[in-house]
This record gives sequence, C-alpha cells and structure tokens, in this order.
Amino acid sequence: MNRVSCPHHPEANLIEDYHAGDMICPQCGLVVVDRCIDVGSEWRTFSNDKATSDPSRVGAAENPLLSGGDLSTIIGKPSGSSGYGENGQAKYQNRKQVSSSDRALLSAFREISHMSDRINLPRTIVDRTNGLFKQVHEQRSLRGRSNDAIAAACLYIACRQEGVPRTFKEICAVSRVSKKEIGRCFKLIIRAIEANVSLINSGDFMSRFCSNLSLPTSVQKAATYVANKAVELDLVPGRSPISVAAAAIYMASQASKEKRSQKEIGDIAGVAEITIKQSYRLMFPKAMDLFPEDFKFVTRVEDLPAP
Amino acid sequence: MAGDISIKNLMSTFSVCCPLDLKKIGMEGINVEHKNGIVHKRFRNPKATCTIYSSGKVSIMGNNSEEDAKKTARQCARMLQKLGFRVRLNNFKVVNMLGTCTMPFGIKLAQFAKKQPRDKADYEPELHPAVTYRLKSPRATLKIFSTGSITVIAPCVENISQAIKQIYPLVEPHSTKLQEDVIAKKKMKKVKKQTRRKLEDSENTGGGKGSRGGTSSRKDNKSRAPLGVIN
Repeated sequence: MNRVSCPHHPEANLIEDYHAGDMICPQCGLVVVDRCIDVGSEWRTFSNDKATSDPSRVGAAENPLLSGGDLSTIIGKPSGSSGYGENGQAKYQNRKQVSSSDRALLSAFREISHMSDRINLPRTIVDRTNGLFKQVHEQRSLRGRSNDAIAAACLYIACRQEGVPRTFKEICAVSRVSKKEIGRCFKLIIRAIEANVSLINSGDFMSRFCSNLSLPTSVQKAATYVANKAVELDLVPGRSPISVAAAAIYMASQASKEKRSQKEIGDIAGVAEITIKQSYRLMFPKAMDLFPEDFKFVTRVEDLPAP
Repeated sequence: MAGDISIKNLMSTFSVCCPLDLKKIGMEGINVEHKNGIVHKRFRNPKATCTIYSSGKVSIMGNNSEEDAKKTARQCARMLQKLGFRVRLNNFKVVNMLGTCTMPFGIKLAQFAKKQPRDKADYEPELHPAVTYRLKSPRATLKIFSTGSITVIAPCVENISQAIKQIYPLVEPHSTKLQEDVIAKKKMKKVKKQTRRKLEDSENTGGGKGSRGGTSSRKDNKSRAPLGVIN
C-alpha cells in the first residue's frame, strides 16, 4: 500500500532500493523515503536444521487468521550450566500453555499438512483447508465427529473449491478415515457452513490421471473430448464421472500408440476394472462419434478391443 | 403422467409401558435374536422385523402398509404378554415410509442438480448415483435416479403423493429417452419378481395348488396409491 508517494508524481509506484534502504520515484529519481526498515525476517529457517542453534530472535510467523493471536512468552532451554538445578534437570521448566481450543486446531493443521504433503498439494489449498477447518470447528455442529474425518473432508472441499478436485478415494488413501465417514462429514460440512461446491467433471481429472500413466498430451486431449462427448450424448447415464474418465482414457490410449490396460488405468483412477469395462461397453458402439476430428488413429476405431 | 406409487417399507414405533428383560425374551421367545443389548424379532405373516429395547420401546420395520404395521405391533405385544410382561400397546405411530415410483422417461441428473438450489438437491456421483432432494412443505426426502425411478421417504402416504406431484414438473424438463437395454432390464426385473412370487405362492400352499391365477392376487399385499393424471 502506497502510504507515501512522490510529491511530483503521486501516481508513480515507488521502487525500493534495499541496498541503501531508500524508496525512489521512478519518474524523477527523487528519494522519497530513506532509512526505511526491512521488515523481512532476520534469519532464514530451514526444516532440516536442528532446533538447538536457532538464532532467530522473534520465533515463527504468526498464524493470524487461525489460532487467535498467540502472543505468549516461552521459557527457553537452559544454555549454560547455571540453567540446571541439583538433580541435573532444568531449573525452569517450559510450561507452554496452549489454550485447549487451539490445541485441537493445531493438531488438525498438522494432520492436514501431513495429508496434503503426501499428495503434493500447493500451499493455497492447505491454507484454504485450514480456514475451512477453523470455520467448522467454531461452528461446533460437527462436534461428535473425529477431527481426522473433518480434516479429510475439509481437504476434499478445498481441492474442489480451488478447481482441482481430488476423488474421495485419493483423499482416503492419505487419510486413515474410511470413504464412508469422509463422505458423511463432507455432506454435513457443506450444509453447516453453506459452502458452494460445483459438480465434478470428467475433465478435471484427465491431466492428473494421464500424467500418472505417462500418456502424451494428444491422448489426454482426445480422452477429455471423448469423455465430454459421451456425457453430452448421454451414453453413460448414472455413471460416475471418474468411471467415464477412466473408460475414455482407455479408449483414447488404445487408439493411439501408447496403449494402457484397463488394470493400469483402474489402479491410477481408483476405479474397478469391471467398472471401466461396463462404461467402455456403453461407449463402444458410438466410438466413431466420440473421437475428435483431428485425432491421429494408430489403431483404427474398427480395430479397438471389443468390450 | 407418472406411474403408480407403491409403498415398500414402513417404519413404525410403539411402546409397551413396562421395562423388558431382554435376556428372558432372547431365551424364551420364538424367532428372536439377541445382539448388542437389542432383541430383533422376525415375523412371518405379515413379514416384518421388530427391534425391542429394554426400555419397552419397540420399532417395527419392513411392513408394506399401515394396517399390516398395526397387526405386527399387536402380534409383538401379544408375544411379550405371553412371556409374562404387563404390556400395553401404547403410542403406536408410523414414523416413516418408503414409496417408489417410476417416471416413464430417464432423467439427466447433472442438469437437474445444477438447476436446483443447493440446500434442496444434493448430487454426489462418487458417493451415490441418485440426486437426494429434500422437500420441506410436505416433509419428504426423494432419491431421484437416472433411470427415472424415484423413491420417497415421508411420514405418510399423503406426503409421498404430494412430493411426487411437486417433483414431477421439476424433473420433466430434464427428461431423456431411456436406452433400450435399460428398458429391457426393468421389464426383466418385473418378470423375475412375478415368477419369484409365483414360486413363493406355490410353496405357501404346500405345492398343491400350483400357481394362482396370474399375479393379480398379489395386489392386496402392497398398498398402491394411484396418482391419476398430472397436468
């Protein structure tokens, strides 16, 4: 936020010269502020450093939205010999008093970060999940449910809201909760915090599934087209979009150079082989109409494997 | 025009006004199962299951009509009376019933769910293949399938038929023609059920009479609430 600006050019964005601590107007070169203090951190902290020699004097960044401004004083570890009492133990114990509501939140945030770490989710999704969890926690309408289940459901919702949905099975794989329980919590949370989630689409999963199967982008594009066309022509009523996506990938990969078996696709997508077969059976009769016009067939439609 | 609604399952409760010794019931009762501090008693005629709690509350599931439910309640109370408890059939209430109805067309669920307000319609294809639609003014929960079948859970038959009347104009714009094999499957299901009933019938009558005249005799076992023409 530009609180100060050049007197001659009030619209100009000031450039910060951090070597000298100046803020300079780019139009006329006037030094508007000098000796401005860099508010970044003094020392960088890495996760693999041992905790013994942490020269930072201010501690970790505050978690403002979430834990309620935890400005407390902590007694540090004994540094010299005088810190230890008669029995060899530290004279002054560190009694860090975390409030009980914060404790549940903090452990949930830790669990969420572990889960998202396992599937390599970006920071934005983790932050959104944390925000959702806090909202749910404050509302207290899901009190009896296990925190792990609520955390997993929040993660699912966050992925959906960010436009990169993960299937329930994928979330289940990184959490210890059953799919049933996550589904139940999901429904309750949606109703409790009145969140808006859009319907899932086969196309949302194409890039992830195809890259896990090492399929080229041409096959991925074709599979997306096939899946959308199949839904448009209503060939697969009542089938989950994941199953349709898996069958579309099977069809597209079998028509190209990079063929994948139903078992491989089923493993990646979390869909049973039989389900892929059933959806493929529904899509097979209209295979000619499903492919895009500019698709290069290595195996022609007539030679595609019969369902 | 929608088809007939058939009531498939009724859930009702009543109370005998005294505490019950479940162990005694479990040992001395007929067709009972004592599990986890609850006694389940199965009745054959009409076919239903009673869940008996030690507080004296009984819940009955599986009946096809309200009269049958009352009959089962009376049978249950009689059985408990015979075992020596001072029972009274108190507060018999039909809590919920499940009715099914089939639309003559298929339904595009994704389109339908998009048009509805989020608090009423719930569609999660990963979790359940049907759209769960909750109505407030006749209190009912409807599950709408892509084949056009709709199941309604509501406290009374009136609610069920009103709910279907309300949902029909919402569902009709999203209708599609059913695929051939789906229609064939539905017909097969009906035929299979009819032949299964014929077998059951002939079993019940000791195999002497063979099949009764068609399946028309089965109509009185299920409550049918004909809807009539919907405009």
